[in-house]
Amino acid sequence: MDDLEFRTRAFSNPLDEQEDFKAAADASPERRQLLRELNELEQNLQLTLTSVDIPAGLQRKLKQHARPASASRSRRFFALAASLVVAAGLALNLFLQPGLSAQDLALHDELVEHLHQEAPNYDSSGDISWSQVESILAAAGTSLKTSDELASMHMIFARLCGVGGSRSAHLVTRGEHGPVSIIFIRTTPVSRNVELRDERFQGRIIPVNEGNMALIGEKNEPLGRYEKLLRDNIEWSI
Amino acid sequence: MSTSPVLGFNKSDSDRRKRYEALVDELYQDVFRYGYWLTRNKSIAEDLVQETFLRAWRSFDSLQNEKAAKAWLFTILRRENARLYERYRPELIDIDDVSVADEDTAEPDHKQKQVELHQAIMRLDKDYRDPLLLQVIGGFSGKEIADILDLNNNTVMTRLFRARGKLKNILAPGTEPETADDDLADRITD
Repeated sequence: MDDLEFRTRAFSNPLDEQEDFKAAADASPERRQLLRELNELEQNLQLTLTSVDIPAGLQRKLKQHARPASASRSRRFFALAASLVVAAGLALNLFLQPGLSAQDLALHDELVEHLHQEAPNYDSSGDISWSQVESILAAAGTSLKTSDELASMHMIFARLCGVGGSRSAHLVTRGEHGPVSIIFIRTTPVSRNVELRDERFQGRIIPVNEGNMALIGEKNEPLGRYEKLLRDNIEWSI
Repeated sequence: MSTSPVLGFNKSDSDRRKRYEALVDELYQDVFRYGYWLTRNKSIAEDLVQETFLRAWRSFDSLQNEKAAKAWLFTILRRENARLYERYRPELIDIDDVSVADEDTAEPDHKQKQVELHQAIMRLDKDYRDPLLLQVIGGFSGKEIADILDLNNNTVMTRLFRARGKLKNILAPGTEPETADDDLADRITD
């Protein structure tokens, strides 16, 4: 094996165990030195690529896929709960918020159902990075202009969701009284602000340019500052 | 392109579930790590892994060749990433987005080296990074990587060669000559 072939195989797979490769490595001090350097790089690569924190509870969630009985029970439970929420929300909305279209009300009801389903998944143990938030926003077709005030918000959750039938971005930040959800929904803007009607949450869906922004917190959470801050900084992509 | 190793002969639900759960136990961490490095986003990676295993479970009537399960899961994850996220997301080259798991035992110098290597990996072109991730995280051979990426084996080995050469150059500039080595593919064996 000549030097060029040895070098090529060493870089392609420093852990090559084939006899001809091992014999070639022993043929000169330069080759042994190169292989030592590559093996050191390989160890560091292994360490770096596997040093990723695995999300807590992921293993349990994956195993849940194989539990159809409990899954279907919980689906039935959520479906029933959602139906009740939808019926109650619709009745209240029709009574209390005249002038909203059927699409506006449907978005409201879908949002309430989504919030109840997702709330147990918020993890307040640590912040997530703004780059993660930006990736989710980009995937949902929106972005936020950078500002110091925005950067000071502690984000604990950022996921894509299907609210509004589109790829929406669901962010959660720490509020004064609990998690505050911020959802960017790139669908036809609602006719006007839609106030949330729910026993647990309060908030509103706000039409912003080409889409909607929903802000939701616990009952006593002040949401005004978030509305102004986000409205001033949101940008929808085409 | 790799194909599903799953065939449709029936076993009991309990057996099926146990084998699926064993698969989760054995592989979920590697699948998540690969998802993370592929997307460079933990939330998206977690969603992808959930979708990957959900699809695996739905097709899990029986696993004909459990040794092929890992390549199968990685392929599903790649496909789901392309379907759900890749085309909606610009390629992010955020070299400051460094995630090194906290380990109390890690020396500051050692941690700094990991950060530098992390950034160097991020700077690799996707064509070079992809096979390297599959080789190091997945432990796949050149042939298996070629199947997953739908490339020929020589192309994979050439890209692995170049990936490590570029990494060495990024970490210690000038120590490795930039190679114009298209002819090297013929000299590489798996």
